[in-house]
Amino acid sequence: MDDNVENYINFLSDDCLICIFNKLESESDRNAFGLTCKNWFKVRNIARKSIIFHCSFNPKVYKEHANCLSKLLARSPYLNLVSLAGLTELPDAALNQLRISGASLQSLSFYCCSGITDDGLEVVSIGCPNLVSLELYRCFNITDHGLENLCKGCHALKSLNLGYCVAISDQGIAAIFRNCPNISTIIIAYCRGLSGVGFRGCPGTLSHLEAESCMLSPDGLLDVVSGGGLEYLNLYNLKSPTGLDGLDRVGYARSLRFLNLRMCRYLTDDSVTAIASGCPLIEEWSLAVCHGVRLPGWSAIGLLCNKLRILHVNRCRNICDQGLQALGDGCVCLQVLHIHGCGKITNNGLASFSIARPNVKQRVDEVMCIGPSIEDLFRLQ
Amino acid sequence: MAELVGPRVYSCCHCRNHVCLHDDIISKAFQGRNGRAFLFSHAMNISMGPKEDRQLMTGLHTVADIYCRDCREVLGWKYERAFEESQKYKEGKFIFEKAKIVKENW
Repeated sequence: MDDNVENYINFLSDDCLICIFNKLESESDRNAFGLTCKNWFKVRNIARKSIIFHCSFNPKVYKEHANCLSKLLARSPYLNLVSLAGLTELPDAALNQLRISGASLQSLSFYCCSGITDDGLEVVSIGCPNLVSLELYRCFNITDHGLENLCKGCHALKSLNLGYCVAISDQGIAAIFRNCPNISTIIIAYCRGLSGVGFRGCPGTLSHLEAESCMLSPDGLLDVVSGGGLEYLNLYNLKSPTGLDGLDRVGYARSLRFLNLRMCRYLTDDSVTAIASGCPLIEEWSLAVCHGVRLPGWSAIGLLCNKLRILHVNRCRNICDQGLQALGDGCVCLQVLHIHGCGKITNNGLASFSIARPNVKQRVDEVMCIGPSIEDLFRLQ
Repeated sequence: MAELVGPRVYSCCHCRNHVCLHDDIISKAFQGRNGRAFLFSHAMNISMGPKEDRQLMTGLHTVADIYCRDCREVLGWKYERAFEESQKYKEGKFIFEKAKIVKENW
């Protein structure tokens, strides 16, 4: 009886085994499958589609991850996704093994892997031509040279996270648009070296831009919105070395739906009016801690933002009861108002607003990120 | 550089919120947590943390940390009470760490 069962299992082809393996959902089942015998081990490795190392604050865990990474990469030739978080000492040499999965790799994440340099990117650009999404968050050593090489090799790039890559300048950004026609999501948070002129001539496919704490110049802002396709823009804590307000240029982004101007200290009423009239599709707008916006600005928003659903005015110093009333008199689609800590708003003002607009939900929480989660755009379906 | 008009203002290093005036400086010879600090008689646009007793270089004091009201960065502390007679002059005054404040256009 036992002999017959064993024979039947040996006759199952690899295709059958892969089908069976793909139906296993839990990690422990999959590991158990692989440890049964050499053949099943081989099937498990062929069927492995992703390697994900999560962030951990334990240095021992990092060492384990770094040690077994090369073995895993060597064994798994059909990976779609490799996500490494926190391997700060990972050298460029470790990336050589990505060539084994080469053409099937679509998504790479080197989150906080600050040991990666331009040489590593060159390996990626040669070995992974079908790359769609790449995260280089906090890879401080990446320069324009590495970025150019990367783009020349990976034309299919759609999502690129360059947060904290402080050595990058506008030249590197321009290289992205020259070589990657499908690019749709870019994160340049904290990249102090960018003024924005590198965005000149960017395609209409660019729909999401995160530029937290950047030092974009007024000309740079004009170039950033020049593509016409921008739907989500995050300029939280935009720095301005001259103290001048260049944000009226955002009014040229006609397709804009989500705008985060939290803590844009130099924002003026003129810019608010320009944005409100230039971006008719705006759905969610954060003006939290924007002290430069006064009654003319709030009136403009009330009058012109006909599709606005969610508005954030937390801790604005210069919104008074009149401004709140102007918002209430307009903004026909408003559903949620985040309002708290505004010194000039009285309880009477809030009460009048509630009576005039009973369907608008008033919330006191302050939200840093608005709109769709940009992280989702870096995960494969 | 624009010509200076008005009082010389210091701003929060992170978000450029105006926090103190140069004219309110009482002393520049203080030591903060990570370097030089200045003693100011007034502060604006800041919020205060809870009071706590701290042993500083000059003795035991009751202090409260001060935060930038906009970005909540810790900028220094306020002296609430001093326990030695020679330190009483500090009561009600503010310490801003030099590294946390920047000159606003002057």
